[in-house]
Amino acid sequence: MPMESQESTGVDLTERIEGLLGYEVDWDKTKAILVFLLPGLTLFGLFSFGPMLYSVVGSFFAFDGFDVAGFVGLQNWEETLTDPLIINWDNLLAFEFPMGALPQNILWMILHVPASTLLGLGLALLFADLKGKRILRTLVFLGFTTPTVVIGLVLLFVYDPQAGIFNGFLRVIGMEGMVRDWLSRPQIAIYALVAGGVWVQTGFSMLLYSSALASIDPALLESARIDGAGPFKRFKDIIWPLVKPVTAVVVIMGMIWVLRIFAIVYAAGGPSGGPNHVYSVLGLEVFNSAFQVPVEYGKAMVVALIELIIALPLAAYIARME
Amino acid sequence: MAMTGISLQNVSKHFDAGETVANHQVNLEVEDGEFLVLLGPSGSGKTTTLRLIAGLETPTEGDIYFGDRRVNDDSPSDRNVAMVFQNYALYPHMSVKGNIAYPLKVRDVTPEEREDRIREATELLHIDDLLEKKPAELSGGQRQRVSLARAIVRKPSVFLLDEPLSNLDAKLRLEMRSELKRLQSELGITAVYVTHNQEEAMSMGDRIAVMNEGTIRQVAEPEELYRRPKTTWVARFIGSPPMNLLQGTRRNGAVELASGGSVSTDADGASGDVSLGVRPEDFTVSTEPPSGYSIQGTVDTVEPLGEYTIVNVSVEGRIVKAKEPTTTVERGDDVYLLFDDSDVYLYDDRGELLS
Repeated sequence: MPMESQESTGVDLTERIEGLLGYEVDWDKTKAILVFLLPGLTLFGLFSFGPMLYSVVGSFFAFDGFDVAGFVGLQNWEETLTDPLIINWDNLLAFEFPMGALPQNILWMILHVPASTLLGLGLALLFADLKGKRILRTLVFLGFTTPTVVIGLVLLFVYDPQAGIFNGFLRVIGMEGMVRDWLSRPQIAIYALVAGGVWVQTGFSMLLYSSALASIDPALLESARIDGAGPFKRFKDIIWPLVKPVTAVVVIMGMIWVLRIFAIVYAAGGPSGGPNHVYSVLGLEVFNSAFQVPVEYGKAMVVALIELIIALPLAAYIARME
Repeated sequence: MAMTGISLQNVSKHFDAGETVANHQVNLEVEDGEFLVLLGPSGSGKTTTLRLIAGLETPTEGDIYFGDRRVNDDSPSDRNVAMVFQNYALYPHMSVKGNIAYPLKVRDVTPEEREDRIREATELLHIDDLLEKKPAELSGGQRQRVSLARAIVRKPSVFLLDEPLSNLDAKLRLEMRSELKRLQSELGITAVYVTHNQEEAMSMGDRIAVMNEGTIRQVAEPEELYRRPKTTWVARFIGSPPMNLLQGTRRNGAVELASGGSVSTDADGASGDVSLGVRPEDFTVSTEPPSGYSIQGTVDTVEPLGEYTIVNVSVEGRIVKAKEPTTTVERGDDVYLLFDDSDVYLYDDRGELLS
C-alpha cells in the first residue's frame, strides 16, 4: 500500500515538525486545508503578492527597456524622489503649481474625499424621506458607474472656454469676468478638475450612507424626538454616531480611489497631466515612465510602490474593521 | 408634578391622502393619573391613537387636549410626554446611563441634578448596577427597565406605552406587569398603555378602551367590560375563551334558539333575529336532562388545562365552549349545557346589547 510507505518515510519529518511546534498536528486535516487554500493562494500570489514583490525587488535594479540591466541599489528611489515631476520641492514650498505628482495627488485626496463624503451624506439625508428617492439615488449613483474616461472628456467640454456650459452659465448669471479656460490656467486647473470629479465618489458615498440611514430603527429617532431633541441634535447624537462606521469606509475607499486616479486626468490633460503637468498624478507618472519613451521601468516601479505604501495602511484599516 | 388629563375629540387620522383610515372619529377622555389601556387586535388603530397623543402624528381632523390646552400642533417634547416603545428604542451607542441621561441633557438639566434624577430612577427600577453597560449587553427585561427609567427620569406629565411587554418571555411579562402598575401608581402619572393582550389590559387598566377598525367600541372598567360587553364584537374579544353567541329569534318575550329550546327574557315584546351570548364559564356541563335552561349537544373535544378544562360541544354543527373546573365527559358523549337566565346577554341583529 502506498499509504504505508508514505508513513515509514514521513515519520521523521512529521515528528520533527511536531516537536518544533510542541503539539500534535492533524496531518490529514492540514492536507485538506492546503488543498482548499490552493486556488485562493494561487490567485493572490499571481495578482497581488507576486507583482508587489516583483516591483519591490525591481525597484533596486536598472532596466534596459523591460530587461534587467544590473543592481543599482537606491538609485531609482533617489532619482524619483528628486524628480520635479514627482515632487517639485521649490514649487511645493511656495504652493505653486506644478508641485509634482505626489503632492498634487495628495491634494486631490484632501479636497476630493471630504467633499464627496459630505455631499454623499447630505444627499442621503435629503433623499431619505422623499417620495422619488429611488430615482434620485439612481441618478446620483450613475456618476459612479460612468467610466472615468468619459467623465474626463465631459469635463473638457464643461470647462471649454467657448462652448463649455460652465462658462456659459457664468455668462448667464452676469459673471463675464470669470470666464476662462479653466483647465489651462496652471493655478486653478486642478481645483476645477477636482470639483468636476467629485460627483463620481459622491454616488458611492450617498449609496453607503443611504443604506446606513435605512438601517437605523425609526423608533430611535422618534424616541429622540420625544426626549426633546430637535433635528440638529437628532443628527448629532443619534444619526451621526450610528453612521460613523460607514464614514470610515467611505473616506478610506475614497482615498484609495483618488490615490489611483488616472483616467479622468489623462482624458482631460493628456499624458502630461495638463499644461506643464499642473494636475498630474502618480498613476499618470507610472504610465509615462513605463510606456512612454524613454522607458524608465525602475522609476515606474518606485512610483507605483509609493502609491502602495500610502494605500496599504488604509486598506489594512478597512480589512481589520469589525 | 403637573397633572394632566387627556381628551380626544372626534380625532381622525388618514394616511396616503385618505386611502387608509387609521383612526375614525375617536372620542376619549383620560383622567388625571389614570391608567388607561387601549386594547384591540392588530390593525385596530390603537398604536396610531397613541402616536397622536404623543405628537408623533398630527390628526387629520379633530382636537387633542392636554388639560385645557389644545396640543394638536405641539411637538412631542412640548407636550412633555414620555414613551416606551415595543422594542425599547434604546440608543445602541450610549451606555445605560447615557440613555437615561439623554432626555435631561437635551433639556439642559444641570449635571448635578441629572445625577440625582438618574440615581432616583435607576434605584426605583433596580438597575443602578447596570449604568456603565451598553444596551446590547443587557437582557430583554433589563432593557425594558432602562427604557422605563429613561421615560420617568424627566418626570413627564403623560406616560405612553406601546406594547412594552410583548418582547418579554411569559414569566418576565408577569413580573413587569405588576412592576409597571406599581410604578404608575407610585408616580401618579397619567398613563396610556397599548396592548393586544386582554389579560394585560384587564390586570393593569383602571379603564380599558376597546378598539376595532380605527374606532373605540367601548370604554369601561375591566369588570364592567367583562360583565356588560356593549356589542357582540367586544363580547367575542374579551374573555378566554370568548363568549359563545347563539343565533335565535325573539318572539313574545322569549328567545327561540336555532339549536332548539327557548329562553325567556325580561325585555319588551319586540321581535326579530338576535344573538344570545353566554360565557363559557357560565355553562355547566351535565349528562342528565336538566330542569332549567339548557342546550343539547355532543362533546367534540376536551381540553384539560390543569386549572380548568374546556369542553367543546358540537351544537347543530357549531362549537360551543364550556369552561369547567373538572369534567368526566368524553368525546362523543351527549351532554346538556346548563345556564342561568341571568347570565345571558342578548344582542340585536346589529350586534348591540339589548339587555
